[in-house]
Amino acid sequence: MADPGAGITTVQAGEEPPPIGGRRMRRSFVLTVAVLAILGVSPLIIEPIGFGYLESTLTRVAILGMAAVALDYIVGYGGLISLGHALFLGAGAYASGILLFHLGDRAWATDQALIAWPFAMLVGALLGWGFGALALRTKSVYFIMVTLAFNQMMFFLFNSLEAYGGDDGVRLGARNRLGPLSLEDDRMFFYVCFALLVLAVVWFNILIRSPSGWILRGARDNELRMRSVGAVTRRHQLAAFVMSSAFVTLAGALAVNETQFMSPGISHWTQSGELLLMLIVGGVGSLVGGVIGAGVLLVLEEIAIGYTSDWAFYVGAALIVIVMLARGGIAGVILGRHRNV
Amino acid sequence: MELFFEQTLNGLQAGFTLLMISSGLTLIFGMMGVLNLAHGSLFMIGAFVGADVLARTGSFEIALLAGVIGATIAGILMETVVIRWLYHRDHLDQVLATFGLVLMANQGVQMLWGSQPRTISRPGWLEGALPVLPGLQYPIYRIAIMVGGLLTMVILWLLIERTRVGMWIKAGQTHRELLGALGVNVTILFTGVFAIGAALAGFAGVVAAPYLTVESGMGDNFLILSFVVIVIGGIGSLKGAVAGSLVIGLVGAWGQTYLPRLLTNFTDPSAAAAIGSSVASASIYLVMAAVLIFRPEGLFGGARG
Repeated sequence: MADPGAGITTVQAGEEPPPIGGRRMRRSFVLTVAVLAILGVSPLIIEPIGFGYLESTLTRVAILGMAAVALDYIVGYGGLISLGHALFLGAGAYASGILLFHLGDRAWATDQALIAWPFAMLVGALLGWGFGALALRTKSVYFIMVTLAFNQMMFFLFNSLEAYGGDDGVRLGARNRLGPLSLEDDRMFFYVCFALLVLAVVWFNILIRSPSGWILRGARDNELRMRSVGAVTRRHQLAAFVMSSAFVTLAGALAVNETQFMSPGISHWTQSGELLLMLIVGGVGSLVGGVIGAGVLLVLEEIAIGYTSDWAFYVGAALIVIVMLARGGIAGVILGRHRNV
Repeated sequence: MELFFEQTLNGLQAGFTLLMISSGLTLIFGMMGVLNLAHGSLFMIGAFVGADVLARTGSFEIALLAGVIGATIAGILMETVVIRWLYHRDHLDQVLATFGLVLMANQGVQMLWGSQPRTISRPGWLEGALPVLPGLQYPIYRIAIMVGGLLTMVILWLLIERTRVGMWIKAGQTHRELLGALGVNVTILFTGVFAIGAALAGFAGVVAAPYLTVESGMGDNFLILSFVVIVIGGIGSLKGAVAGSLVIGLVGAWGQTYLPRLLTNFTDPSAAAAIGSSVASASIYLVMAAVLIFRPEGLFGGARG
């Protein structure tokens, strides 16, 4: 059986490894800043060029882009392929949504984002700790199966919450409140999501350069060697899984605010697949690739939906072609050998 | 006591249905090392083709045959066009490409047959119930599924353990290059094994359809349950698939009945029913978690990794 990170390694035998720091670091820094800058100014320029209807799509790009960046941390840098991360989107939606749903009839209910969102991240971290510890008892392909199974378990759990509409879900009357900012204003809500996305990108860029990030990558490329030099790889992989879970849960909390609709659909296993799809389109192991992938897919989908109802069919076909032909994704094409760390 | 027997039979029947899917998956995975997310789609394709032919001919037997053939053709197409190129790729590539197949299949059946759910009804001669115990009538069709599942497994077992082709299949799991060097056409062998797995999934799709709705995505849950079976039973062997499938079937059936009752001792009935049903659907995953804690290599698995 191949080791979990096989094929993700960027340096081939006989090929000069790209220099540490210097040019590749600068190139990926420029790409990251450029992508975030484009996303940041997009809401201001889509109106004049006739794409005003894409505004809520851009908010979803920021939200799911954050989830994809968090997923890239363990997939691209840890070689741990989770096919269960939609469960954390669902956990975030339900954790913050339930707090909001009971506003007025329960003492513990709150609409304060500063309480609900960190609470959601805490829930996500705890779930990630539990599921991660179990899933990390296996490797490679079993890790995929186990995370997918946990995804399905949580999906059924959300479906069985009759108090919150069961499989239909419930409409939430309002968004969370964040100090003096009005999240009901779509433009303001976009910029809050965008700010959190920037924070997540910066934070995961710090993490991959931290000692723990180095051990994570070392374990991806050669776990035995990392263990031999004294690194407790399991502990760092679990920490990475928990960190990733917490940020995907935050994305879930933002997503339920965006739609103001709490339903199990967000945690369907195909959503986990779509997060991975965003990574492969944008480029695995580049962090910013997740944002690129989310942007390309969601914007194309929004435009295509006007022309065809069979969008998913063509995405499936395109995905197969991308896997066969263009492994590095968009970021890979732009960065070449100058990958992000 | 009758209830216990009835639930046990229900569990066995569910287990046998699952076994028809998971045995193909474990065979393909054990031999080619490809994680095929689209295996559940073959189950769905079998059910859709079956429902279509049943509506045209009115014969369940022809529909069953058509479902098996349809799934087999779809499986051979899948293997030759996509999966064959993934044998030497890493797991992320395999997951993504076969996820692409899932997206195509789930949308494709809607493009072909519309988004209206369909049904398959049981054949007339398998209607009714048999007394299996004094005071317990059990539907003939469910018994037929068990018998059919058992027969299929015996045939599969004979094929693998008692024939030359079976020897090649087992050799292919561990010594692919050597097998090729001895003059066996490994490419065709792989396609053949994939076709067998697809046929089994298609068969399961048609026979299970009377208890399900034939709709897009109907195979996904069976796919995920098959993964749970593989994690519980261990990989590569039919023995593991049998054990895992029956454990899942029985735990699911018993949990559905007894967990809500158990909970009524602690809380009021309506809450117990609500919590009970969610705990019951989670129970099989808790069994998987227990296996991961105490025997991470699975009940019948060797070392994995």
